[in-house]
Amino acid sequence: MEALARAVLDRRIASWIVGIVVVVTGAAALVAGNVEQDDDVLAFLPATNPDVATFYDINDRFGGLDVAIVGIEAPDLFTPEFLGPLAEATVALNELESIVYAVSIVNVDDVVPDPDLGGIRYGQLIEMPPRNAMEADFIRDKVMSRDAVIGHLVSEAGDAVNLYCVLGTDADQRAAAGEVRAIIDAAFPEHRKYWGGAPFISNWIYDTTQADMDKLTPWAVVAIVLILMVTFRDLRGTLLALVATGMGIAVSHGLMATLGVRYNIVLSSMPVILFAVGSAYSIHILAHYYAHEPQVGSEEAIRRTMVGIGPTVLTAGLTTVAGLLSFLMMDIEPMRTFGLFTAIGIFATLVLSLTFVPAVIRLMALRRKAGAWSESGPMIWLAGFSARHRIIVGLVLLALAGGSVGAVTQVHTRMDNAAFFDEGSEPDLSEAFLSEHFGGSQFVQLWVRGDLKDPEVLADLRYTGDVLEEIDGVGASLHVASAITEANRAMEGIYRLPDDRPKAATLFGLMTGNKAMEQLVDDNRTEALVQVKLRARHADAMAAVLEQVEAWMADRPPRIEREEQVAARLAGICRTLHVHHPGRAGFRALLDQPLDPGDPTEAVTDRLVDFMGTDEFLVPLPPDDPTLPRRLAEAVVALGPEADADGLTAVAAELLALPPDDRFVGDVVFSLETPVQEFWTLARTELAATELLHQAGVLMPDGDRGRRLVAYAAGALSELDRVRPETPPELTYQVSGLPVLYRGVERSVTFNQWRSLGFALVLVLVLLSVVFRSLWSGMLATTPTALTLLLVYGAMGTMGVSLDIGTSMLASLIIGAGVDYAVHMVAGWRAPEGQPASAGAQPAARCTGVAIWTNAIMVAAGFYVLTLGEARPLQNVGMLTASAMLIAAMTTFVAVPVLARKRSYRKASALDAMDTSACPAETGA
Amino acid sequence: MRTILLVLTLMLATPALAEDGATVMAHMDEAMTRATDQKFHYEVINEEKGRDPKVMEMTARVKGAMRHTIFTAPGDMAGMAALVVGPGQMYTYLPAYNKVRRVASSMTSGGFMGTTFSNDDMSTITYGVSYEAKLLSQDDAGWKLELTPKEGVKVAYGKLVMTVSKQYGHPLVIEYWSRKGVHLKTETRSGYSCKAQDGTDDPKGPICNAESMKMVDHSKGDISTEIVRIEWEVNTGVEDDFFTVRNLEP
Repeated sequence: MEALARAVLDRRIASWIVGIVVVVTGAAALVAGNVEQDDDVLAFLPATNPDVATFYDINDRFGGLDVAIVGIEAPDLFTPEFLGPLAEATVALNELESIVYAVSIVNVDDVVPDPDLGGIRYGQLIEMPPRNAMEADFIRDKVMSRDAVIGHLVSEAGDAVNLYCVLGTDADQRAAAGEVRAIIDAAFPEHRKYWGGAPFISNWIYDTTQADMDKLTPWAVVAIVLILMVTFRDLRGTLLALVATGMGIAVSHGLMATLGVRYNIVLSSMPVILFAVGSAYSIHILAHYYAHEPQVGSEEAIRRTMVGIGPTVLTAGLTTVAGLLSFLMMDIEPMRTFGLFTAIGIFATLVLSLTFVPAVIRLMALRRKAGAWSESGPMIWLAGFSARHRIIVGLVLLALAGGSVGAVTQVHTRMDNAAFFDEGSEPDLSEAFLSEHFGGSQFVQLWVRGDLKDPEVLADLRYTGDVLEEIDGVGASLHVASAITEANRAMEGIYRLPDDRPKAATLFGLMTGNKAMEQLVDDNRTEALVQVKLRARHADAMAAVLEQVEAWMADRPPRIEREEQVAARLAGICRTLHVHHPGRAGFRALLDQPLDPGDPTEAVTDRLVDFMGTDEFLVPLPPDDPTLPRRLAEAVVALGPEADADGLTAVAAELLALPPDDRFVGDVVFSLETPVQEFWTLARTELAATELLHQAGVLMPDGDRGRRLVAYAAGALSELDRVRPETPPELTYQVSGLPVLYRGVERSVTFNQWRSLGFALVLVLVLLSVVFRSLWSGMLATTPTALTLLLVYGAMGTMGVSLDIGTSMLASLIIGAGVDYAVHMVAGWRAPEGQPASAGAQPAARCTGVAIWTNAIMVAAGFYVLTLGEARPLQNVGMLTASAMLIAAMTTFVAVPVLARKRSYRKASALDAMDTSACPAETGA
Repeated sequence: MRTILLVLTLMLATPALAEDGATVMAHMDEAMTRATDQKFHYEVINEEKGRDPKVMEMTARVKGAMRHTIFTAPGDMAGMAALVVGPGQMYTYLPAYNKVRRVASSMTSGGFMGTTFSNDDMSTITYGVSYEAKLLSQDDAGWKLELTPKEGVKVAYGKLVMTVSKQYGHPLVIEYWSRKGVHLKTETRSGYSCKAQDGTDDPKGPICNAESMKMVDHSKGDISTEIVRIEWEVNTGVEDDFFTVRNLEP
């Protein structure tokens, strides 16, 4: 330091130092503007964590992370004024390059039987918006009769809609979300809208944080400047401290730009941290200079400052760098980037405080005006009091520490959306809306691997969904088995899974390219997702549901009896239609008993007669005999459910009075052969379903809802007939989804916390032990920070503040910034000749009090300003860090006097080079 | 007689083509329906970034407005047959179900089995029924037309911009635009070859067809579908009763 001081005192060298620094930082500032923004909030998920890796893997395959959800409150839903714009908006969304697929009630596929012409009608649920009240009523009835749509695309009350927009894998989430929002805002300027899904929520978090930083950083700087002005009463000195810090920021940003490192939302807090923490070094230099200057003049004051406080500043700076480098221990990449480049920024401000600042002082001969804060009386008193009553004060500290240890155990790691946004914020309102109208917005996902074309696999998958829906807190389950059941119903007229593999394979083939399917099953049909929608919104409730899901998945038997599957399906059907039912166990008990559904002959006959009047019956029967269809139907039904082609040919030939080999007879047989078997199954199972539901005490709803209940239940019962293979299908389930992700992140945050904390503490302790050439002295300097950590984490435990990605930064920040105070205090400790060691307290407080409190108040003010914004992570980190800095300063003036046992900690230490006039108040120089 | 009429039509039509989009469109529609019937074997290749290409094969027979298609690959689809008897009226036969289903579908621009061709794109043979044509420009190679939907006709697109080959009378490029003026897709037809009415290869024959039809969906990034003609026969003499539901079963 002596050599450095001599160099700086040389006016020519000082000029060179200033010139070089200005050029280098100017160049850095020029490139600093090229740092690119990274608005991917999901980058904060630790990619190496197995739960997170699985979540990413699933979402890469099925694209679940890239779904933007728009909810619209629509009291006027079924009116031309609403459905018209909705149709146009849906078309416009699908025409966006960034959107692979957008679906709403308007364009969702609708496959229904054609009762007049036979077969199926395939199209959009709403072909065109209604033009009058009658059409509106028709559309309302149609939409509200589609159980697969209710609760997903339209609310059960018919007063809200959802649009799902699946983004392309390469789509810019930010731009896509903006495009979607623009289209919806233009279509529905007056309606209340809700923006859910990762693209909107990520953007909101990023935008809010960035807006807060943009808005609050200037105020934080203003607060810091005011504090400096009050302290120094010298504008030039204040500006010098700020410019030196600004240069450090420029160097750090310039390096980021040069290395192509992108700016993330945590890094956006770096300027405040650097201004608050990094300016401390210049402040200490200036404070000491100002203290010396009136007595010894500028040049000697610079020398004394450099030699006296320089090593201490260097030590303090290096401990801060060490604290920040502990972020490198984390498995979250943006946090590592933050730690590294903030440490670089701190190091730059440290170097500048020891070179650029003294050089400028030398050139400008700064002088403080009278009336500046030169010593802190209360701190001198406090340090002296603590030293004199060390046992009592020590016991109080011990009690506080002990109490805090208890409270620290109450700090839990919690990771959910609440870590990112407040109640009443836009994403919170969206989640509340989606939960209220659409049964939730969070999903547990089951990653299924098996042969999805095997009906047994599909049945198992559907059974799993049905059972999981029974868990309290689960809203609904979405899976490919439902879609296949619907498709099979289009082919066979009954709501059941296809009964063999070729049928299932055919249906999957027909659904190739269906974008909704691509969210649930892969192209090879060997992997699928069961999406379990959670009503629970908060972390604890979701964790409880997850626990039940995992417990059931772990305990489920490898082979599920068919009756058990059907019972679960029946209970699921009743849940969907909101009818009271006896539950899975109740249905299971009924299925074990024989049913007497009655004779289906008449129902089959009626169906056959109707069928012969449709276009699916290939050959119109001679119109001259109106009784022929019924006579033919009765004759066919008389053959029984197992009627084969020969039997049908004989019947048709006889009634049509044609030879059996006549083409007309062949066409009739071809038309009837498969449908007649299906009609038997349908009629028999509908009767059985009606009887079973009656026995189960289910109150049959009126109208179409009642008919749907019977139809669904008949489909479920018909699956009892499907042949059961001897061995269960090979398939595996893996639980994932946001709750699992949160759990993974929680584990990661906890791990990161302990690892970075340990790393920082050990590094700082080693550094200070080396500097003070004593382990005990190193521990003394570390103790106030350790105590601060205990108190802050104890307060978190007491107040119920959770550890999350944001608050997990605290420990390293507190260690990095807070340990400086103790370093200065210990370094300034010097008992006057002939007095006990404890007499060193007041001189140390006198030398360091102003600088320490100036910095502590600055840091606290800078961080406190961050709490004034909307961004939850900034609020927590800002408030806790601000408090921690004040506590660290206070504990320094209490704990060090209590524990210090030496007359001086500079003797025989690396700081020994300083001269005895380092503390001007003490020397009276 | 048929040939003479054709030549007369061409002679009368050609001088006016440079001025009149409707005439060019009529010329195109006529050129595309010169064959009494046609039989194709296609390979359909669907390509999407980040995914393996999907390949389907099918054999299609066309006569007038009727189209009979049988899938031959992939294995899960083999044997599946479809009969289109009119706009939105289709019968399908699924071997696994051993039954014919009548499928009435509404107008849709959605992709056909994951391809960038919609059902409408696949089934459109002539354009004059649904569109008005305006001649935008012309050069030695072709006419550029803008087709807009006729009053009261429901079609999936707001307009089509197509380049019609002067040599073949068939489209070379078709741009599909939405009603709001968004360029949705571009279909490029290339590798034209021609046959005589008797079905023999004849570079100057009246019946021409593209070897490749490639549709790129601009609204969906890099998705494209190419229909590659593997085999092609014309005027095979297939009877009308081939295009019956009963014939869907192999």
